[in-house]
Amino acid sequence: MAKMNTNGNAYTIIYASVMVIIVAFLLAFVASALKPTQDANVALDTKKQILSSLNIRDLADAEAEAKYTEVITSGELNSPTLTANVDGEEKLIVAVKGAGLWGPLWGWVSINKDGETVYGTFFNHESETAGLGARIKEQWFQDLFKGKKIYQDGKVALGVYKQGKAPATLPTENYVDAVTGATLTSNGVNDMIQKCLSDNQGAIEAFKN
Amino acid sequence: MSLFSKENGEVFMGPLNLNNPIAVQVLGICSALAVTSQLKPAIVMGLSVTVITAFANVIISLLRKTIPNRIRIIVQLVVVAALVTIVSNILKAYVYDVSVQLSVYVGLIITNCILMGRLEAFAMQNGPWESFLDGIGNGLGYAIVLVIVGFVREIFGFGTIFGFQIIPDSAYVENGGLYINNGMMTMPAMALIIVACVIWAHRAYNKELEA
Repeated sequence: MAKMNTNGNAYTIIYASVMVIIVAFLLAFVASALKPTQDANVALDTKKQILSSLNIRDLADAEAEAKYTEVITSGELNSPTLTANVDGEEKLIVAVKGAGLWGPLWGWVSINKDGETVYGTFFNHESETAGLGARIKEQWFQDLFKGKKIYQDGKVALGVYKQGKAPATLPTENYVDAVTGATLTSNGVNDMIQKCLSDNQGAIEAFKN
Repeated sequence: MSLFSKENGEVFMGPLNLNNPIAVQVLGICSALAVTSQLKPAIVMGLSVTVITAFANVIISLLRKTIPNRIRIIVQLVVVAALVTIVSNILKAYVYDVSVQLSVYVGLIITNCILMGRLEAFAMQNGPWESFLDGIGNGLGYAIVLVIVGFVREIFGFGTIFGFQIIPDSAYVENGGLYINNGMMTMPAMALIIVACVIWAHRAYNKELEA
């Protein structure tokens, strides 16, 4: 067999085409074979995040699945509001979405039956600065919200302010301190909470009664 | 030539020490900075690069006599990109939390200079078995440095190893101790400084590397 000319135009074009087709089939196969497992992971992760907003944290995968089914009484993973029953007490969970410094922020705020006070929160981010903005994902920050009041004079006032920068008329029970060195991310959390809670004020009122 | 000849041993051991891709050739630094703030992602990243380098090397080595010279870099890139996509999908399916931490950096393995360097400089001239050893060797050489950096950054930045608390809680200032986690360690800049220290120690130990 004569040695093939591997530098000819025809050979090069055919080689490239065949290679691309093979790779395309391979990748399509892998992606569709693994898709169900990946989707299940994403769903489970979202469930864990929602449970975190009810102060149920650090569960193993199987536990989280069972706990979620036990606790959440209505709502889907992507609903704007969900309801839950934690130890006999009803809670309303409001999904919050917004923008941080570098990318999207999201989370859930759970509210007590009185429709006034925060039961727990969970915030997550895509790409905030590690060690600064990324700390909104940490429990100590989220725990600051516990027991805070949502409304002032009938309007959503719950917010995040730099120390000493909160409006003088706002009582401390209405806000938490921002993360040091992460003003823009903290402002993002503030805007996200105020917008999404205001948007869902109707649902909160309905839940209360 | 036998499978485990002396030459092959050198092909494998070289990149682990005297020809280390990070410590000596100073390649693949960007990902070394990005994923080493904790040990677990550093290890997963090191293993991913090892697997991808080894398989890409073998595939390119098998194809090396058929690859048209004018598009050889494109062929190498397609092979690497395909492998990276597969690995990224596998990570998402089986170690979801780690894949979230590694985020875009798995995809960026495609641009890792170690891979392209090994494909172009080694796999295009050598047989599949040698290329496999070369890929494993270079991947592990990269992984070792990542693990060292990840270890130092996690223990001083978070006081943990693999997420387990190592520095006792009572040692922290909040609990009446004298210790504070070094926030600098969580920053990418600190990874560069640790890599520099690794290079320094490596050179001081291996006199033959001194120019």
